[in-house]
Amino acid sequence: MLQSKEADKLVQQFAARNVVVSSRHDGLRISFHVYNTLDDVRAVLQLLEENLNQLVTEPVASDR
Amino acid sequence: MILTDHAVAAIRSKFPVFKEKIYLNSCSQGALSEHVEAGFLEYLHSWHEQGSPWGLWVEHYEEARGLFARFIGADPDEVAMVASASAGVNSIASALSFQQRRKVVLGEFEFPTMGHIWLAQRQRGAEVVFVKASNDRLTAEGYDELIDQGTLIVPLTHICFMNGFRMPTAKITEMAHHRGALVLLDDYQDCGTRPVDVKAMDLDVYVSGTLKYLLGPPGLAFMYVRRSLASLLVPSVTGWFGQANPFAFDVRLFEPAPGARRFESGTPPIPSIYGRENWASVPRRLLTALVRW
Repeated sequence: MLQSKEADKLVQQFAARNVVVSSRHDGLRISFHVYNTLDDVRAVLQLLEENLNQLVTEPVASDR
Repeated sequence: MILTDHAVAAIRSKFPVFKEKIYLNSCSQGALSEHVEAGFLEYLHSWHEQGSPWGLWVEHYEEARGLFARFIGADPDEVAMVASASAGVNSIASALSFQQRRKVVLGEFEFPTMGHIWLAQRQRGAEVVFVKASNDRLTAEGYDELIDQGTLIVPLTHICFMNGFRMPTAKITEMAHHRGALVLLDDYQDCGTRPVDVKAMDLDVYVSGTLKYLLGPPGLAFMYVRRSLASLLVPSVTGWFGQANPFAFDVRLFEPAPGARRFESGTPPIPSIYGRENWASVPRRLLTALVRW
């Protein structure tokens, strides 16, 4: 899970690029199973890189 | 053991979603395989062609129970088949008395339904306390502070549905048992990613369902209840499929089934069960390839 201020929006943006992920609260959930490949990993990393400004990349104090 | 690219490609080819999309949401719902689709069609055909083949459908239902039992290292009479994990846990909760031990200790990483079910037991005398998470973690020490001689049950998720944190289940189970509390493992977020042995994990109750990493449909869950515990519990959330003989059709007799089946209730979710060999065999084959049993 990756923290984002706009997790729901990211889910929509990823969907527009045919990458299916989900969100819970402020987290973007990306899960892999046996049918996923390294190419899938590369594709989602590419999308994350393009949207770095929408991720919380600094460690924040959290009680969760 | 790592699967070769060729093996992964062969598995992936059975999941049509990958023709159009990169699917990275198995934590929410496993992708639909051709096997599962064929199972649903087989169900529809049986309905079309035979009208009401309940004998056949109940055979499928019992075969699915056997598959689940093998998958988690239990015997079929220790496994209840239910329409959701919530249905199973509700039946367990309804069978517990909160008169002597009344405390339920659960962590903030539980799936919300677990909170809802146990909070609802407060009207029956339960006291619910939450172990607080810190920095995306829960520790056995956190449980250590709250589990005591007054604790009746510790419902425990294997994996947090939000952040994927893997709980220290072995430590918590040992601690709970040492203090006389029951342990209920909710494995829904992990089941299908690795082999499961409910006996080796020394669990009292284990619940999971088919819709995530088991790559099945919604509408079907299963629950193991330790044999010696099941015989002591009489659920008040029940129904005709929880009876010793559902087909006795005796309205005056309440006689819970001898094993875990007593935690079932109404007419089972036949569409979800149907074609179980198709979908259930997918993760089993994968696991056999991934891990040496």
